[in-house]
Amino acid sequence: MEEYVIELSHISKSFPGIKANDDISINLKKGEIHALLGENGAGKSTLMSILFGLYEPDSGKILLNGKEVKIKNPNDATKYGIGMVHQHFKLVECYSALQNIILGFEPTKFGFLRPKIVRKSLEDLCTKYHFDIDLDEKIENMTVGAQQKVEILKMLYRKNDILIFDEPTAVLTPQEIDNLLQSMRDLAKEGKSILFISHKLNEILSVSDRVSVLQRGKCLGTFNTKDTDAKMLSNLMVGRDVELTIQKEEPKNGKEILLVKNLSVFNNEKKKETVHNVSFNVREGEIVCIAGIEGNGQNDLIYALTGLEKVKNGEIILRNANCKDYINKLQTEYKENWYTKVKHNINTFITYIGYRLCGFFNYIGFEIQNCYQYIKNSVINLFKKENKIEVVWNQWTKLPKFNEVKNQPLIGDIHLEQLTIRQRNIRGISHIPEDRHKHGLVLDFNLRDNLVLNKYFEKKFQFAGFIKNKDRESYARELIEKYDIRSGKHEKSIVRSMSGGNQQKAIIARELDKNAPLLIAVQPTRGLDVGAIEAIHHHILDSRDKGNGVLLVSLELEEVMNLADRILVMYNGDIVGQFDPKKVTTNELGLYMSGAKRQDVNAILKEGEKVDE
Amino acid sequence: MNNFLNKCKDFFRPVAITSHSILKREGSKNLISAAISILLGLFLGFIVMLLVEPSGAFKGLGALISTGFSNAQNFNRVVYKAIPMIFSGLSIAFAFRLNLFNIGITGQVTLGAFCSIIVGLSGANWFICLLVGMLSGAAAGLICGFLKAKFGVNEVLSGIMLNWVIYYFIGLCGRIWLPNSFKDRIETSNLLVMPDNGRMPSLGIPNMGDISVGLIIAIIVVAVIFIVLNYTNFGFELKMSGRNKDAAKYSGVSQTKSIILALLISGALAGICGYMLYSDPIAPSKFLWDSGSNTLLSDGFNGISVSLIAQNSPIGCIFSSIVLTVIDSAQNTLSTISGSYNVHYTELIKSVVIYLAALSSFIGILYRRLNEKIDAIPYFSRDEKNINSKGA
Repeated sequence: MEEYVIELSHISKSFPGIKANDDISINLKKGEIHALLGENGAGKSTLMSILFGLYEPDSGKILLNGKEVKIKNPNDATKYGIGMVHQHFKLVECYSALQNIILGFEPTKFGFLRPKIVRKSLEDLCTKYHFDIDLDEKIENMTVGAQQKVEILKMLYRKNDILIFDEPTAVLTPQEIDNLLQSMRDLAKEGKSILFISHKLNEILSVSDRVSVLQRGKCLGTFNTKDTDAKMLSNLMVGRDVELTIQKEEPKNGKEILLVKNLSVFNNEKKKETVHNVSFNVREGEIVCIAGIEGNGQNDLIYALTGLEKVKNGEIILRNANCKDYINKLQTEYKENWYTKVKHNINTFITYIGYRLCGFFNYIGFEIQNCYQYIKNSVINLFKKENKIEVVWNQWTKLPKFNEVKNQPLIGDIHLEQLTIRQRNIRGISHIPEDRHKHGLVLDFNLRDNLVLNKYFEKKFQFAGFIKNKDRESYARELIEKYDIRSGKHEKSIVRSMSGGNQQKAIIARELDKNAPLLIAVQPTRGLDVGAIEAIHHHILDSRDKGNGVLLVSLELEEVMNLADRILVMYNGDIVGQFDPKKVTTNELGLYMSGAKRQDVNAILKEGEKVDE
Repeated sequence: MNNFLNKCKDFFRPVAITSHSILKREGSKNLISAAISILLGLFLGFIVMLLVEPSGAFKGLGALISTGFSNAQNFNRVVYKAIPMIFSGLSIAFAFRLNLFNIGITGQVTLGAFCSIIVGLSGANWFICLLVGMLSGAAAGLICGFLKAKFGVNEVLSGIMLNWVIYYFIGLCGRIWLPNSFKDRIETSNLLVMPDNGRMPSLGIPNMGDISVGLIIAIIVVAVIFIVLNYTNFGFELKMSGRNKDAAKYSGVSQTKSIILALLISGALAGICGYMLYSDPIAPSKFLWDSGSNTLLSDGFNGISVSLIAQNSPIGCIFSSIVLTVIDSAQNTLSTISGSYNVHYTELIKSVVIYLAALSSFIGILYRRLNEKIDAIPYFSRDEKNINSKGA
């Protein structure tokens, strides 16, 4: 009989309503990479949490080197040499790498902290596994890949022999993924045993020795990776044939719908400019995809387009004049009569006063800032002989004029910069937000209310300010039918109790049913399983084929390559490249995403504009 | 016999199902947890009475519950004390829809009372006084709302500070600008009581002269606020902003507008409370603008307890304020039963009830678990097939 480092035998764990793990037995040999494959909700994370001591199993045993052990909390797990790299890193942002590594197991001398003692051994580990990181660098200044290496070092420092990687590749570029997989192979050679959770088939095929497939809490079996292939694994995982690559027609490029010119966004929380001078366009009937690693300004760009964040500089122009269906809807919905005219004028007046007031306070603040800069620069100039700093009185704080504040028309070329979120939505933007719990849904509301969350004011759902609940209900039933949203009590079920996939379907139903000329989708398939992803991709493609423009932000390169008609790569707040997905490889994209290469995008875009005209 | 039992079960099943589905609602959950906290409070009070003076405990408990309704005079007292409390409770409950804690209510009440009495003394009729009280309360609320919405100043901080600002401002006004004809001749730190023209008209029920138009206004306002919160777009927006601020922003609800309006309306309700506190039809109380003891009016803070017991429901505010005043009114009767049941005693019971009401979310959780268990029993499920398959 073979020696196993870890044996999980007959583990069961149930939560109210679901059986997350049902009699799962998995074992891990010394020095092997064992992959765990399964859809979302298949029970991978639960199983690993049990092994790491975050949950206790209802029944079943954990054997360590043949002896039964009880793991009640993560400290026990560390004691037995089990370490885990979480999908979202557990690092202290403002500490250096070294401080993070020793956190929890600090080397001390006479009760005082002495990190020097372990420094040498950590440096040795770095050279041994080719980890190219600076131990004194702060975590917040590191790239995601480097942060992950810090996590791995942390486990090695604690002398863990069993390493769990929970979807480690989700946030990395292709180059970083290659590095990680190589490190994993090295670690396994050194005799470490690795459990690798993923739902990316190609990684599993390339790195693992054995693979266990989970489906709905049950283990379908463990296979030698050599004997399997991608198709077989995906069929096992989902339980039916899945289209791994989506079939789509050629885009029929129409006229421009969205035009962004020299857009800059200043993020108030991070206190820095996160988007610099970005220009691009989206045409009718095409999917433009913004690729990039998380935190490179994609979010702030989208927030600026949808109105959640203010625009510092630049223009956003929406051209909805060509979308006949939507215009008809707008015209019937917002027919002008004396009441709307009066309301419009009052609104305009109040907004204007508000702008003047805010502008006044901003103006004073900025003037003080400018004054300070001006004086500082002049003083520096006094002492500097060469390379004089150009002293300019900053002019970007001009007060808005009345005609800038005036409400933009409903139809035509609309400048969105000064409009409120509601005004933008009405004029033809639908937005699938990144964080469905934060922005997309009110979890305590029922499905009926969530499906009208941003259209409750339409004539269909209200009369003189009073809610028409029956119409809301029938509308909700219609959408539930059309988009196959499954829930316990249909339109009356509280959204918090629904599964993630169905919550996302609810948002997609709400946004796509608007049939707005521009659809902005941010990571619409985040955290969903293959089946749900397939459905959502089809919905987005349908929207494109109807002639709407789609702007998609995604971190998953596979999704980008599958869906996009045009790819824009964002790095550090700039658009560094524009590609045709048919003519580019993921590796090439990875180089641009990590900032190793960049194109002169403005020149390319200008050429494109000329062709349009 | 068994057969008969089964028939009984079948017969009562529809009743059981309907009552279960009614009890499952959010409203009944709130009602039941409020009732439980009140009963527990009374029970604890009973135990304290047993400890202090065992012989009078049962009599005392009876008095506690029944005194408020024992005769017309007592009932009169209960109702006229409850009316302003309903408004202060509503004020807190309304702001709480947006997760705003309007602790500035005391200042708003004080300002409302002061302004309305001044206007009343200058000869305006009661409706104008009411309006002035309302508007001045609203103005105080607006300041908090504006600061919160535009500059992110915490409404609790600005509210508390504004309370003191208003308190001393009124003192200053009284000392410097107020004509002597408005002041009490003997105690110059008192305003004159509200004159006849400014008092609320009595409804003219015999022996219950203190019950005034205020009661009708209270009921109408409660109804209007209930409808606004539950059946209008504005209520939907407020609810959305309260439950998930970011989602509300995403769907285009202006946070500035919601916050300012919520605190404005809350302040207006507090202002009405202020007017009603000092304009009783028969014997209105005196308004002290310079008491020298540096204490704020406690009438505003009562609203917090009212709203807590009512679980922030507008209709609940009526009943919870009546419960509190009923307990209050038992004070005199209790002291006749035994000398050891003194003033602290009713206050103790009130505070226990309020304390338990604050814990009622815990009762709510227990209640939900119970409901989940009942849900699992096939007898209570609407689905016919379900019961058959499980029965077989």
